[in-house]
Amino acid sequence: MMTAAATPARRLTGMLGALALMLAVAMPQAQAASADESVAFVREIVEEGIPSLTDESLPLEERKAELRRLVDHTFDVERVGQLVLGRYWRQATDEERTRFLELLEEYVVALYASRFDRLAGTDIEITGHDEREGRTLVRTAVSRQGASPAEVVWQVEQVGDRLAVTDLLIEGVSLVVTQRSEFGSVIERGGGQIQALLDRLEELVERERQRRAS
Amino acid sequence: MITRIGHAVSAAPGSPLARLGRTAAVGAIVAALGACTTLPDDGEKLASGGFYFDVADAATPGEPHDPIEGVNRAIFSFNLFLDDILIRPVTVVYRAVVPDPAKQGIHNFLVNLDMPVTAVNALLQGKPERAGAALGRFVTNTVAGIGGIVDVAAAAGAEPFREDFGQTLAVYGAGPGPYLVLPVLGPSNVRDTTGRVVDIFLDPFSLAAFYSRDMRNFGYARAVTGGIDARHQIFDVFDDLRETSVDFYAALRSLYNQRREAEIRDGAPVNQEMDYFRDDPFREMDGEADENPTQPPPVTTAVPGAVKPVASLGWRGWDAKAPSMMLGEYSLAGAPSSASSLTEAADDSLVAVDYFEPFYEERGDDDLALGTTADSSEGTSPSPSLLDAPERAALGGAPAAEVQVAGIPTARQAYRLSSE
Repeated sequence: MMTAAATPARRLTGMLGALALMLAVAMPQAQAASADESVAFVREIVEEGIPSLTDESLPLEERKAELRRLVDHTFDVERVGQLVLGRYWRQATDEERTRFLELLEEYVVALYASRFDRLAGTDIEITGHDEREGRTLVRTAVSRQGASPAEVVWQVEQVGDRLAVTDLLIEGVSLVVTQRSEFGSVIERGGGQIQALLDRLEELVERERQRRAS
Repeated sequence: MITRIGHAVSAAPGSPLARLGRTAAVGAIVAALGACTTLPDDGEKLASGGFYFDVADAATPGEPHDPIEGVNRAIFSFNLFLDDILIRPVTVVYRAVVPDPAKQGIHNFLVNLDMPVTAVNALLQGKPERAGAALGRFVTNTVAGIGGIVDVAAAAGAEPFREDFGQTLAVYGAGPGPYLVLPVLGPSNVRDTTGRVVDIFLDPFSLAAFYSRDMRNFGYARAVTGGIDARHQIFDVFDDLRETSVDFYAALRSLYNQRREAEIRDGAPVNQEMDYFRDDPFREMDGEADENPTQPPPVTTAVPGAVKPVASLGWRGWDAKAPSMMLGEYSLAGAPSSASSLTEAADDSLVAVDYFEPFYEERGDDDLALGTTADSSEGTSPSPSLLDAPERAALGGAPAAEVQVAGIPTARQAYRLSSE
């Protein structure tokens, strides 16, 4: 099952990630990837990654493994973690940051693991791209049978020595902005304590885990 | 391209973005002087001389101005309760009983009914081609699509869209105002609630309900069916989000605000520079940080010919002195057609905009103290003021540019801020 999120290997990855992050923070941002590379990156995700998730001919376990591979490959937890924590990132202690990044990755994987079936029957087509200050916004049209296509914009950034998707904008709604608003709200309501958010994330991850176990 | 001022305040201090934001925020404050008595219980607060200003306000996508969050959350809980006991169960039955083509037909029919009011609002927004498209859709689908049940127009490549009076107000320059959760109807804000009411009078079908009993019954049926269809449309997404969100209330609030912003832009891409990366810690660590207050950000003179719209003023609250402001913020919506709004110079410095010069005058020289609270609420910001001292000194008091919203000279003038 997907409890790999809690294995020592996963935690180690988290620690290493945090270490990489500290190094990254100390360095100026790497030079921007070319737009073409970014478009190719998204093309790979939508043409190879996502179809293999919804391929009914593959066993469920294999598809779940594929999901984890895809998340690891496309999602930079450190970068996204900083974006979604926003100004609270600056206030967080090192321990809090490390724990937050661990939980965030578990949360994301748990979130998508139980729901990737929803992607079945969707058709994703790349329609163009814009460049913004070292980021590339790759526009795609996601269509389902019967429904009018939705615009999904993938924000691709060079993070360290690789490309990563750092946000998705669905019909103008940014996942990062939404998440940041939620996380900020939980922290504020918890008296400005980042621990409040960590507790809440732990609760959700745990609930997902039990849901899957049952 | 509507970008708001308020949210930019929390950009990593010292980055060009933050400078832009801070300068702009001062503009918002200046404009709001004396006008705002709102006491927000979250977000950055600026307090001076007994006045409170919410700078991280309103207009930020995802960081909405929510001064009555307590009340909103209570209504939200009630709505969820109502959803649990009534709306969701009814929708479940609807989904199970009604065949898919029928559900699609009902949806198409409802969307088609909205086309006339969309056309009216498109006209009011000065978008005749959009109004024509809406009207064309309505006629096509009503005639060829059996009263709107079949979406013939979409099959021909004309996707449905919606313009309502809330969007019209936004195009006129009104900001969202405080976030509101309406009983049963859900997320809204002062502007959009106003828009909803006005739309009743702009929509021929709901207008007809005033004159005919049959139309009144039709109106009720439309409302109920519309509610069930809306719940049906978001069924999975809503349930997923409720289950997995860290804070469902905040998630919906953010989604609503972002979605409305996107609708107001008619789907045009957002100018992300202003709002999106304002909280990006990387930016702060990029070496352009604010540890360097001695080096003044360059301030340039506004060149009216070279302006490009970059920002709008946020909600400035409730004002007893100016009841006409109650509709919401007076924003400088940099609509694509507008010749100028705020001036963004090549180096990202920005002139502040003053809509309400008298308030500014009233406040005298206190304005520059306003930054203190906002910045200190960031916790780690060393910057004592929204404007750096040299930046302040460099600002003059002269009017810099004529301000237009959607081509109409709505606001008066953009001003350079004065330290006096």
